[in-house]
Amino acid sequence: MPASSLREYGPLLDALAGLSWPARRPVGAGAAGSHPSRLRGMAADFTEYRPYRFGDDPRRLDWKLLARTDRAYLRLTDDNATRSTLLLVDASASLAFPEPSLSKWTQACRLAVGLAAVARNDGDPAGLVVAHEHHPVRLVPRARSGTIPEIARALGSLHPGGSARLSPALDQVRAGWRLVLISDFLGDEAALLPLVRQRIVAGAEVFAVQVVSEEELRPPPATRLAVDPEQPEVRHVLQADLLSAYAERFAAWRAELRSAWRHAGAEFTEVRAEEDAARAIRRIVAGVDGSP
Amino acid sequence: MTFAAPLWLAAAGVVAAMVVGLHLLSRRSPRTYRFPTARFIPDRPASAPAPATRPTDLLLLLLRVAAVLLLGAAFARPHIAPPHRLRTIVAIDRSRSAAAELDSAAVTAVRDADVVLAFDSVATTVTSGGEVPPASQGHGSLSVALIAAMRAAPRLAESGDSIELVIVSPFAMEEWDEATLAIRRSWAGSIRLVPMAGASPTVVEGGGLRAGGNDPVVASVALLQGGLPSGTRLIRTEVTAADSAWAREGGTLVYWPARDSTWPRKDGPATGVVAGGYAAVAPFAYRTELPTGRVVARWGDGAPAATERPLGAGCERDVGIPLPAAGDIALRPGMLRLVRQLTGACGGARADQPVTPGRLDSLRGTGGLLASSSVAGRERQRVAHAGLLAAAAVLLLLELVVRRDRGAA
Repeated sequence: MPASSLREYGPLLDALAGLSWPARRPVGAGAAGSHPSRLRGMAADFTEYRPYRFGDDPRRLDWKLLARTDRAYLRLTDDNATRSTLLLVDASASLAFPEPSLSKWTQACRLAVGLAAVARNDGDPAGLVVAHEHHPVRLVPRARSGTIPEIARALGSLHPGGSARLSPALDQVRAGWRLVLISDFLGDEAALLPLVRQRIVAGAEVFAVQVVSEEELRPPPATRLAVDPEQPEVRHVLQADLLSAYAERFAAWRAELRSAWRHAGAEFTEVRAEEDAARAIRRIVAGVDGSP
Repeated sequence: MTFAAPLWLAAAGVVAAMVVGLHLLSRRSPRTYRFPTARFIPDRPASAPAPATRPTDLLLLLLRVAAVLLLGAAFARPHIAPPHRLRTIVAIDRSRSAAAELDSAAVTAVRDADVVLAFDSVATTVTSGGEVPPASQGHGSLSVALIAAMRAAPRLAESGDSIELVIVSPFAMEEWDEATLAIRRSWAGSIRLVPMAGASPTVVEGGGLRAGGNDPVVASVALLQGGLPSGTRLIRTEVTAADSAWAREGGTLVYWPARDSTWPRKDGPATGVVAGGYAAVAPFAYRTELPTGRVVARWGDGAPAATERPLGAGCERDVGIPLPAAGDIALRPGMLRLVRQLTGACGGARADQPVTPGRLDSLRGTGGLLASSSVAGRERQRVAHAGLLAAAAVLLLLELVVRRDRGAA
């Protein structure tokens, strides 16, 4: 089960201390931060001179150069800004697997808290939206110090269940934000992808993190009647002689999913539920999938 | 062992065979497993009938077959036949009608008996090796003897295939009642009747009336035809030790105190008193709390008005009916009949003349002895039936538990 207090995430947060999550593209206007901005600003780092044009701010004139050469030039510098990070966590019934450890949900919570902490390392505001059928959570991105404990508490109080959809939560993502989707994408992935593509076009950075458990990759060979927890009408007999066909179909679907998301411009990372969370977060931040 | 309904057993065998067949040809539905990626499993029917190449769940199969066979056996009503042996019940009359001493025929009958019942108005079982009790002062009842024998018969039925009932009695008329023949018909066999000597009437001299002057009871007794019975002593004053000693010899001591302070009074007057089928209606001034004993007379509300206690070979009778000195209550015909009842012999009027031969023939009956199966077989079958049903129920519960365990595993 996921931890409900920040203290229990201590080892993970220690392992992520100092890790930076640079923006893939220059960010737009915003508060002063660590990511390069598309705008020229007032930073100390000199970039270039440009001749003064009518309408430019006279305060940006290089007065010393004007006095020395009698030519009016503007002193241009780069600007840095923050990028708000919104973590969208899937809390549907398919994350409550495998029973009783629920390692998929536990890993999703660790990834959310860890990625929020990494964003905060850069001074970026971090927020959380949990798609839960009965107890949805929405924490607006904030840069204050209590954000990470708040996210940890919100996740710790939930138990995945129902068949919540992720796509409605995308309405809360603004242009220029960084959106991190943590899910197994076994729900409304078909409806999700076009909406994500729109956000990317609008300037958002999207990171898709797919959580997959070892038991899903290699189910035990015992004969059982497998029932989809989100769609009980989907029932299939799982037998040893079907495992290889199942593995092929599952792998093909994952490859197709990865390809579709990348084609849409999102970073896609597959994370094992049993994997070390710090290592997985470093892969996500670096944009390394690592999946076979 | 035999079965009353063997078809049930055959049916159970057929059902058990079907259970085995269905077990081997079972349609199995695999255990449910919550699996998020179930959609990627190639489709295949969830269950299919298939002959089991190797039987599984043998414990379940065993429990089911055993439960079915036990149910069949229960409904087939198994019966274990008792050994070929004659068991004897002897009911010996120990009422006031019977002689005090057992004659040789009675002794022989008692010696050969498996169960000895001594009866008067109640029946008791004489323990093995115990002494037959002496004759009592109580009324005898052949109905009581028959009922006691019917209750004892099932105990003997397990050790013998037939039961003989022997009644040793003088068969006095007072021992026969309206229910005797009806009860007799419930004993499905003949009865051996062994006549024994009746009680010889005890003649005790020294009866009479002792009372003060101007006593209304004296006037009543004087009007009785024949006066007091010879064996009755009616005391209206005080009872002495000599009176008690006389009663012990076989006399009827009637203590009917004239003064009203002998026993504690009860609240309220009374208007009627009944004894032996005769009633006297008059305004009696009070009622009293009498010593306990056999009730001889009762007030209109059922409270005892006279009680009797055995005393040696005789009895002492206490009468708590206040007769006023004034008035003619003591002289009325109803009161005279009541006085006649209250001064009668111990235990009430006797009818020692023998039962008519026709009634004795009815009591004896015809045909063979009582078959054990007719009295105990049903009881044993009922016990066996309940036991087999209970065992089947236990097995079915076990089957449920085992099935759940298998399902959860």
